[in-house]
Amino acid sequence: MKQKAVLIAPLIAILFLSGCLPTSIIDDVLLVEAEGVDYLGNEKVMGTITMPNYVENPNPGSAGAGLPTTASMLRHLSGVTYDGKSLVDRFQQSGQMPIRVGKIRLMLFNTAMAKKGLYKQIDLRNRDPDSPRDMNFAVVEGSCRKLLTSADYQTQIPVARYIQDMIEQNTEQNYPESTMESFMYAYYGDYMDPFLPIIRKQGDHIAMHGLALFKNDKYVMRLSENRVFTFKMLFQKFNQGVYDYEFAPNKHIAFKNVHTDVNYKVKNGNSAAPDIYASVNVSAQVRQAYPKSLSKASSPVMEKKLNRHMAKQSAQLVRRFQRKGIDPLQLGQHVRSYTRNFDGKSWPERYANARFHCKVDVTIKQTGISE
Amino acid sequence: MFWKNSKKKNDQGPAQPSKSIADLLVQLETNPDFNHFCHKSKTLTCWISYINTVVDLEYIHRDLLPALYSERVQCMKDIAQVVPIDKLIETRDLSVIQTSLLDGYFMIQPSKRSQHVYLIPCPKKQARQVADTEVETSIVGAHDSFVESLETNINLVRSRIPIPQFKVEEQRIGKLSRTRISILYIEGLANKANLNTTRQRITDLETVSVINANMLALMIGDNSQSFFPQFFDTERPDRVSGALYEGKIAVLVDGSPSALILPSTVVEFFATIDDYSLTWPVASLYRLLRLFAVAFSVISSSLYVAALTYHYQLVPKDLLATLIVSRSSVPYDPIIEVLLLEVMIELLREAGVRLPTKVGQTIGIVGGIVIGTASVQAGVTSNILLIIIAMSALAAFITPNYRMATTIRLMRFPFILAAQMFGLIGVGLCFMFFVCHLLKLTSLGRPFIEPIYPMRVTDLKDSFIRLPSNMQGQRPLFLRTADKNRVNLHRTMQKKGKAKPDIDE
Amino acid sequence: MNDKIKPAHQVGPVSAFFIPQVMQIGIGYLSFQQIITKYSQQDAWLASLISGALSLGILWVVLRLLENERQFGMPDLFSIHTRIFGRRIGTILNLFTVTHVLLFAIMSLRSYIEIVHVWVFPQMSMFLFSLIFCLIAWYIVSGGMRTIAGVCLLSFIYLVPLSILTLFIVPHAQFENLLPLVDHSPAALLKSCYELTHVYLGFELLLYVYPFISNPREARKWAFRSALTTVYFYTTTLILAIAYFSQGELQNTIWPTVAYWKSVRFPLVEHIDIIAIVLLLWATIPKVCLCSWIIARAVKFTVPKIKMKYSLIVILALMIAGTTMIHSGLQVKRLNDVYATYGVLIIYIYLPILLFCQWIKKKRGRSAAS
Repeated sequence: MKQKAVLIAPLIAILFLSGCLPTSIIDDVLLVEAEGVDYLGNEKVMGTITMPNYVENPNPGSAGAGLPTTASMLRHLSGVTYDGKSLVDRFQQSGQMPIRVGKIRLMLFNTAMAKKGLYKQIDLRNRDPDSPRDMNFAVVEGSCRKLLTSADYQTQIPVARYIQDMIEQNTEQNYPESTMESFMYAYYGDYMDPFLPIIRKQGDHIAMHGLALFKNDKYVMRLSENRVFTFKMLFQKFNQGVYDYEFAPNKHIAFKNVHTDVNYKVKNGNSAAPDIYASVNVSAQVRQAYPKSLSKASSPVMEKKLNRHMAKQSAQLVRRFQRKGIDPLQLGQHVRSYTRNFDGKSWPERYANARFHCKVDVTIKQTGISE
Repeated sequence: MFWKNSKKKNDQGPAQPSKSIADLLVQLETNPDFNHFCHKSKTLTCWISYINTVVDLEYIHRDLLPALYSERVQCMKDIAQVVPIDKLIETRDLSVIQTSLLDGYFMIQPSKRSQHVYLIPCPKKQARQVADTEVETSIVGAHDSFVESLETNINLVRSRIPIPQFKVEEQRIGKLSRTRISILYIEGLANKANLNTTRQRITDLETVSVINANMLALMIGDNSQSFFPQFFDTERPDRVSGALYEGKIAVLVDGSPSALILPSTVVEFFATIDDYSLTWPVASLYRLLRLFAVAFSVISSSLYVAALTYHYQLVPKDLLATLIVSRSSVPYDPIIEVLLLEVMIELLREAGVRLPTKVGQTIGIVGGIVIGTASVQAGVTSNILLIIIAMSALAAFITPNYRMATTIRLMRFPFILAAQMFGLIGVGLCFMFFVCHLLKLTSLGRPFIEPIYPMRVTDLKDSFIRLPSNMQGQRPLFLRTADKNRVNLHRTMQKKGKAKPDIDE
Repeated sequence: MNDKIKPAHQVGPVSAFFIPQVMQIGIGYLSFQQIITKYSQQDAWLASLISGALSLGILWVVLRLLENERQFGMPDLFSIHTRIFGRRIGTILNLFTVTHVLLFAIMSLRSYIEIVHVWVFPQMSMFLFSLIFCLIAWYIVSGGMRTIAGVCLLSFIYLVPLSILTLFIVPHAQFENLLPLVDHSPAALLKSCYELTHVYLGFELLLYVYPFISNPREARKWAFRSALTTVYFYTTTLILAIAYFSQGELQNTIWPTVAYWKSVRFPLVEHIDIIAIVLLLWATIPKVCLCSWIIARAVKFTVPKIKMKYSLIVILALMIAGTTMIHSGLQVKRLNDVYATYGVLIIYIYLPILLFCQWIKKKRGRSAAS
């Protein structure tokens, strides 16, 4: 018994004396929710971080005693630093509490930054074990700082959550997935290029504004909103997107896709001009149509029109990509998958000559409850 | 020094039988309730002694003495024929005489100093009526529970096991108390090795007194350092008889309203008798609920400490605001907050148990509601924590066995401290320690966490889940019973083999 | 040392499944994908199957060695060495193999600490952690082989949720990445195979545990099942990694498995990776326990006077010292390389040679007898 006590006593002493690990008690740290980086030129950036502030919605329980809440008071910090600097470390000097990055939701870059190249920023995020893989990246038209620090939004919820909710619900519809997870996949992957959604501030709200397509880490091309559906259709299978088709001047038909899937086939993958065949199936539910333009009888006609239109649009889209030398649709990856002994070195040159054949098959499942 | 002395004293103490019958009588005569007198009739002269507080006086006056005084008793040998009794002990053994007298026997001596005595049992037992179960209540099961009298208890069990193979062995332990202890088992079912271990542990016990069965359980347990009770204790005769039919051994202690079931496994502590009354999916779900409750009760508050002190990343984004807001008015670290509330709940529980039932209930409600709300309002603890602690307290009470429930309630404190020290890693280490401890633990030499390790798939059928009784054809493997099967498996197989009719046939 | 193990200290034949299994799956499970796919990209799963088959072959060698030895006494590596090579050389050989075991224990403990340092607590005191860890290990090992086997079983049970967790990324996986099938030269595949061999190491500890397993007939079957299960685990994880990451990203990710876990999100908790890393405690403890037990047995085998319970304390102290002496991640990696080469040499080259020696000895013994 005595021996055991001799053993155990110093052990307990060591345990308690060795001191605890550095803590980050949830209400004694500043949790960064969004980071924004604006490029100033000459390798300098203006960084902005936002932290949620919970003082505005006081706790009904503790308010009873009339105590002031001690939740974080700082809402945002911005300052100039060099490209690739961890903003958390940069702003620690002005934080009243330790700043932690583990719950970050959003990383924003302005167009200048994106055009300049993101490789330092991305390395920073990818190196940090704390950054969640479901955080969203986005390109901002205008200034990230303004977007993040304006106080004139209609909503009271923190701006980071506002933007993330917006991006997430758009991702479920027309926009392709753009979390850190999918961005890194395309960024580090061979024969593919990443893309990010573009957002901008429009008066008192924020809106999605197309896709920013990257060549490696540089933003080179914007895809406008009405092309995003076509892009997503060629990129992944999805549902709930809405496509608007102007079949004659000022006559529109809009459908919501119930389901879309895409299949790729490749022939002559190692030749100078590979053939890429995409076949797309779209099941559509018509949401809106020009009066009298659509009926059960006439829907096959409309389907044919849509088939032709969408195939043409897809081909145009790919041609634009080829001209820019970017591959956000990951066609190169498809070619690699379907080609034995794929010649990766010459692919960039051959990509420009690749022939893209697209076949779209739209099926209108529903035309609504009235004729 | 003190201990040595007292040991010596004990050796010469009252435990030693008196040297002669005269000594014994002299020793007893000082007691006012000891009756010792000479009976002289025409035909017979004898000395009668008994202790009037432990004998059935009515029986003595109504039946014994009249018979003894009648003229048909010519000599001592006639007593057996004349007196209406079932058993007459004739002995010269002083220790028997002593214990019998103290147990309520009526002693007849031919002369005052004669060591050759006749003993007639006429003990009076003051016992409570068999009452409703109080600790382990059941809704649809039987409602009778053990009482303090050994005879009544054996009666309750025997009436459920009306077979000759059912054996009751009696022993006396306690150097001073000489408490009666019964070992109950079914011969031909209970494993011999288990039985021998039980007997041996009980006989080898060096103790002064045994007050109740749980005390005995602690004394004969495999690991006395452990947090966990190693033998199941129950106040339900139906549970005991169920265990006996499984091939286990039960131990009853005189004066204690609970029985021990040996050996036990850890999952038994989370099973109730009602599980066997419900249909098997329902019973299984409730068992899983209980296990989940135990896990929750043990680690919820430590997870709170770990997550809020170190791992803010774990908290989902949408919960973050709620947590931060409710914590923001609390001046302390999460650990202080948690310890404060945990200790408060423990106080409330203890107060509720110690106070008389009616007051106790009020205390529970008053304490729970008033202190809980007040402490949140005062900004000492956060709302969320209050919910977590209350839930984990509730979850701890779900455990059917009281001793296990106390263990589980106290087990969370090391977890909380570990969480403060190493965050989740600390919780993991602490958990690992407890699991390894359970792994090493044995009950009567049988592994304590049996269906898990050693892995016995057949025993899993009645552990975390309870499968229907037609799949429970075998007794638990770990008991190594003499008869493995509950039912004639061959016959059940034959019955099952009958072709099942098609739909609508 | 007595020649017979009492049945009361033996463990069931199913332990031959859990023990090698748990030894094989460890911290390497978190990071092996990156190294393997370096050479054979999308065909790495094929390499995994090949080296899995190879590990099965070596398992056969191990079991053969032990079974041949049974008639001469205790079927474990120590007795084999001393019987074939004599007391002196045998002891030296034992020293060599036991050093590998010690290295194995130190490596698994240190790699675990490394993971904790990277992902959870960069400031955690290595000494304190390994002290607590080794105390728990001491508590377990002092319970004997039965308790260690129990820990192995529990470890297996607790690691099942982790492999289920990896399934959550299936919706994000692009199985097209696996195409074109078998598009690499045998040389590239072999390189990957070599990298994988040390991932599969660990099952050879059966060489020391075998006498404690009852019913060897059944046990052999379980041992093979265990090796197959490991192959299954590693191959599926590898396939998922190839499908989930693009090759470039995979090469850039040091711990791909943790990255999967980080992507899983539940309504109640986020950052599952931290929880998973805590669960990995269970992957580490059986290794430390079994290894220290083996070394203590080796000490007792060589110098029967030293009781296991005393040598155990020294061994664990050595482990703590060894662990705390490795300071940086780079040193961990370097030591891991040493350990891996050492292991591959012993297991894949030395063991078949030993089997051959045993056969020669048997032949010679027979001719001498006749």
